[in-house]
Amino acid sequence: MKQRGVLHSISCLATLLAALTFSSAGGFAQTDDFQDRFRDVASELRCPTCVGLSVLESDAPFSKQIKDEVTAQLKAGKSHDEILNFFTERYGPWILRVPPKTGINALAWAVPLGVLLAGPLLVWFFVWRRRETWSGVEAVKPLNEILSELEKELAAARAARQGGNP
Amino acid sequence: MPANLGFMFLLLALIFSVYGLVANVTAAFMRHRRLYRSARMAATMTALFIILAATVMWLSLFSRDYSIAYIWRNSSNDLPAFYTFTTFWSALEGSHFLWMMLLALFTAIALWTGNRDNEHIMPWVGAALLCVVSWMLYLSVSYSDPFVMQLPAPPNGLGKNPLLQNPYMAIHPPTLFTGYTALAIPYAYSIAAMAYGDITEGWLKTARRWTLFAWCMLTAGIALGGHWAYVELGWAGYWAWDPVENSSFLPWLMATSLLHSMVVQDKLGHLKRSGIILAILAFFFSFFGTFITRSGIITSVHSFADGNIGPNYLIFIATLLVGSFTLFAFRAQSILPPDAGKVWGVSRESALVVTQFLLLTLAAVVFIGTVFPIVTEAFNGQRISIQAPYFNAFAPWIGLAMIVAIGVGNLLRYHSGKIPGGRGVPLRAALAAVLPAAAFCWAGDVFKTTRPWPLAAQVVGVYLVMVSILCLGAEFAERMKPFAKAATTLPGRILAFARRNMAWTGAFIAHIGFLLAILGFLGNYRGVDREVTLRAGETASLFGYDFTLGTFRQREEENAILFEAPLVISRGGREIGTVYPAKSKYPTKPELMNEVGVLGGFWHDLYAVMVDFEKTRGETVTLQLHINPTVRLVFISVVIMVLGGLVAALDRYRGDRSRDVAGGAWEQQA
Repeated sequence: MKQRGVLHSISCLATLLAALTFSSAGGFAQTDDFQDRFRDVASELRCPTCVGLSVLESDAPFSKQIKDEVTAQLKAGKSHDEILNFFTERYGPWILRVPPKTGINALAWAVPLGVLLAGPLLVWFFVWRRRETWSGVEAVKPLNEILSELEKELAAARAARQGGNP
Repeated sequence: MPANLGFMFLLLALIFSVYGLVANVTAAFMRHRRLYRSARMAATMTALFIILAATVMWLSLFSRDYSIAYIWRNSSNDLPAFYTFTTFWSALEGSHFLWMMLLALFTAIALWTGNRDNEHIMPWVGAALLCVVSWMLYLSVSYSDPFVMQLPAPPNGLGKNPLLQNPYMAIHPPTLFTGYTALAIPYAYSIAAMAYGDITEGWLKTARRWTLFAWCMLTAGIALGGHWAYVELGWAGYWAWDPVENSSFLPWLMATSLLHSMVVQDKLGHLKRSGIILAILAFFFSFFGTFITRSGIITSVHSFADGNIGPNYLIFIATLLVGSFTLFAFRAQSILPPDAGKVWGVSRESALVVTQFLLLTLAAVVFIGTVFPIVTEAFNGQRISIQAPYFNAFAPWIGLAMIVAIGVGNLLRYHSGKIPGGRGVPLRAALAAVLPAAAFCWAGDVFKTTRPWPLAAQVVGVYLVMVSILCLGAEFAERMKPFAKAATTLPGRILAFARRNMAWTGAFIAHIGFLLAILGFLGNYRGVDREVTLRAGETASLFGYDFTLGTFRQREEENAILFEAPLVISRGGREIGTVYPAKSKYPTKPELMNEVGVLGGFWHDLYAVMVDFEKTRGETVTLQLHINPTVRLVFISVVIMVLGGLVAALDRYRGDRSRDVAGGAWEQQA
């Protein structure tokens, strides 16, 4: 319960803070609409000749050609998705920086999501629920108690032996 | 012929290591002490002969002996001395050689410095380590031979990759390999514990210290690699989630998880078996990374079949994994916690389990993102890419959960859901954090970002980080209470506390470092950039800064020719510095390389890359100007994290008999 209280208040405060910033951010924002749309598209296409970079981040000749094509298509009024489809048809899904969410490739999305969702359940099951699972089992005694009991038994046995053979 | 001599040393090392392996296993089964000592001597000789072989390699490098193909391919006459030295590990065979040398060296050190409490399992430790060493030696005399000759020797080499001629890249591989190699020791101790049938006194002390050392080295190594990418590649970032980076990140995640598992094992005697699994996985992933980056499998599964080293690596890491887990399946039953009826509930140990869950989930995401394209291509032939946006879809959420776990988890105690200072502590932290969070957002120009989504993520993230930092601070104050009379001055009291609680202090420092790193990552959401073409004397503005181009010039630096454009940066009419973005030309390579100009401040770096220049007279220069927020914070925080790890490693009491019995209560006493 306590945890929930803490988390709840944290999230409330965070939302409040975020709301405040949104309202003030309007004044600062200098949105360059075309530039933003260009970035959105270019950052979702991979640079074909580099490792791990988008065409936006790359100045390789191949990337430059793709960027020029994106600019031209945006100016021709094509939408974000239409341009991505154009490149996917031409180069295959490989040109996109994330795997498509269809067919076997959906697994790449489903597995991490599954782990993230199932994880808390597993933790609850194995960690929190252990309480009930183990409640029927008698707890093992601490070692020092076992030792002191053994010592007592030993002392009693010694005393008995000494009593028997004076 | 130096090459023959070097190869002979490697062969001798192989013979010694195989003997050491056999002798260790025999000594373990026969409980034969003198045989073990002989095996330890063999391990020492193995290390010695590898070092001799390495000396031959270094001498040949400096004498420019191009009859050795490796030296011919990776160096040239113009190379400065420092980079000649680092050419040792600048390609496949050499980095395998370096790794092998470090592993043999650490094997010898681990066997000689083994705790007396562990003596009965040392033969198994030696066997596990020498098994890996002999396999690496086998590769280095077969498929990855650094001493392959080519005669007659050419007069000059093909030259070193210019990207590697950078101080960060020079020390990045040895640092990272030191980390990978040190992970072998907790792995070997885990194998030994399973072979022996129990985790014994003193086991944790040694395994923990090596894991901490490995963790520090991995952290530093990854950061050095990131810094290299930042100043050398010129795309204004330090982490692209590419397969090479990911494969160095996986062992780090495993090592971090292992450390958190070891804390519970130290205090409560639980999570012993999960610690063993994590040690196996950490070590496995250190090799997996090499396999995936060096076998050619990442470019395409089809290039994998060409080389011989790839399939060999695959066989080795598969054997490593299957063998270790088979041993685990048969032997782990006997490794038990002290009490079967443990109730976990809301407690510090549960928080540590949650932390491990988060780290392992991130590892799963990274692993899937790295391996998935290879697997699907092998199955259906269709190529797909998994790059940064995929990882960025998951990592921030896991990161936010980690922030909360650090704050709340550190406040809790073992066996108890009670927070010593009361529930008010996290609540007060949540309230008080508004102020520093707002200050950070305001001072760091956060609100100047143009998009609502990164802004929201960033503000929430910054706020949560501040809450967690305050929670950690409250916890520190709580733990300081018993030390009120330890010294007259506050620094004296803190020192007295730290000396008594090195492990806790180290963890505290490392956690603060990690939280600061997250602050830094959050800042990177909102860089701005601009591409401009300037003539000498012209000025471009970005984010309140004016960049004025000076006279284009050409100069020589070491073996390179630099074409550089001095860029004077001023703000509000006041000059604040000059950067020198340049293109460099190395004598043996045709292409021009980027030399980035960075002017760093705490809040943001000004980062200038020369995209192009007018080649005939250098009249115009095209530049990419970036404002990269809080990059410096990331690198500072890594230094703090490593410092925390080293402080924790210095703890003298960890793993002693007295502590195992005392459980968690002991730290409270002054």
